[in-house]
Amino acid sequence: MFGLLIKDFYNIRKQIAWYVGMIAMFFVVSLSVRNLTFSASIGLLVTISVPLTALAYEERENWQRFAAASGLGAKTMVAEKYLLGIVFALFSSLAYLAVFLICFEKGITWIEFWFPVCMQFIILSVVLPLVFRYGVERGRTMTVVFVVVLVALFAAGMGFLGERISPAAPVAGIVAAVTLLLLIGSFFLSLKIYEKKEF
Amino acid sequence: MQSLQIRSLTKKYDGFLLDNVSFSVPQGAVVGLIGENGAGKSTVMKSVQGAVRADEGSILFQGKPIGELSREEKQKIGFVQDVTCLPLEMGISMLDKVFSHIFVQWNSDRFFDLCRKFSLPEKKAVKDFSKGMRMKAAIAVALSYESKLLLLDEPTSGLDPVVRDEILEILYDYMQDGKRAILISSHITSDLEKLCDYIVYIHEGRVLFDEEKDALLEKFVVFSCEKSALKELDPARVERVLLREYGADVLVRKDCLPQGFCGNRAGLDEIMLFYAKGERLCSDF
Repeated sequence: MFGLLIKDFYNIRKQIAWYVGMIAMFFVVSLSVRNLTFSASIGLLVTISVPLTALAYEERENWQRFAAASGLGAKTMVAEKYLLGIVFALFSSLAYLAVFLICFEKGITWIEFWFPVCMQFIILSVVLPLVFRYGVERGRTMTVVFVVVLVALFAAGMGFLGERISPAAPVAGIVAAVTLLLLIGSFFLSLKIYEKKEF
Repeated sequence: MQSLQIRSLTKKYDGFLLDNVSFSVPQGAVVGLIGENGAGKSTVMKSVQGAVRADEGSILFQGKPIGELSREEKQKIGFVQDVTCLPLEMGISMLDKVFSHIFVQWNSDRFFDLCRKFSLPEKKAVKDFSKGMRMKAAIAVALSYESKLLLLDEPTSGLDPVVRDEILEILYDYMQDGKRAILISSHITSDLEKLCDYIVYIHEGRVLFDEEKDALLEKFVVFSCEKSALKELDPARVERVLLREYGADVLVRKDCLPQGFCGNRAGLDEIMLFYAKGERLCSDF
């Protein structure tokens, strides 16, 4: 697993630098205009873009065939891509947390932090099985449609939820539990898809 | 002792059937897999690698089904493919770091020695290597984790004769201890004639023959004759006939060469050509 992770970090290091730069840029923009949405949105994009880019490189390089022949099982291959997404989801969440704390003022609730963070994992849970099933090209198209819809809903709903859902702790717990279940279910679905694949 | 045993391997795709393929790779031997494009060679290779699941049949490595091999046992099978699977954005030292975490018995010293021996540039990424360099890099990887069986799928295709010769030298070295084995598929039959102990010919998804190379090369002769002369030949003694514009080429067993004809030894290319495009001699000729 560690070998696969460093393989991806080395192989897409230029793209990773670009994504980290985008997180930093959106961080600055969010602070400048004191609007959380910028910093929250970039997390959604980066979380899914990093594993998708790594998978695109693997398809180009026939890496899956190499991995199968090297005794790397389906579980390891699939888990590594989820882990890669989770690492970047946590990284962008940290940046978002910093923006949130700096911009925190009366009227803002913690659900406005928690909701976009969970969204990153939800989007990962939906997109990865699609990409494992249909390949990166078709999966990417589906992802773009899904992200556009989700970001629109998220941008529209963030203020709405922030205003109406005040007891943040129980709601945050429910959202986190649903997200976790979705992520676990998604992993097993991806695993089932990957186990049936031939290279 | 058999290093690899393939028994009744069957795999069905739309428009193609790999049909009941069986052969073995003995320890200490090099087995060459020949056949036309689409004959099923790569499907056999991929099945052994575990990249394709067979519909029927079994594949045993050192007596154990490949599906039951642990990761460490599976890594006793080295492989080199026609299309390089190495991460293209990495250089030699990055490859070493990654593979030291993937292969249980990775030998960094051996890897760097091989890279130096093959004159692979340490600073460049794999994507900037020439085709020959990429193939050498793939071979260096395959030889750096203590494999006992090497699978080579078209390792010399598209390479110039100098690089091909270097690769054959590497493979001779690999076989020196007598405990290893190689299964190699290639269209370049001259390479196989130099390297192999056994030849397996797959035609349209079936094994047409599986023979010792020297015996095979001594077995057949080719001669040319007028089309009208074909009527005088005994169909039972003729393997295949290739009709040409101005006559016919005939493949026969050496001991079946008709009197009055002078035959030349048939090479692997010719044997393949006769079996792929030739016809059986019948009364219509």
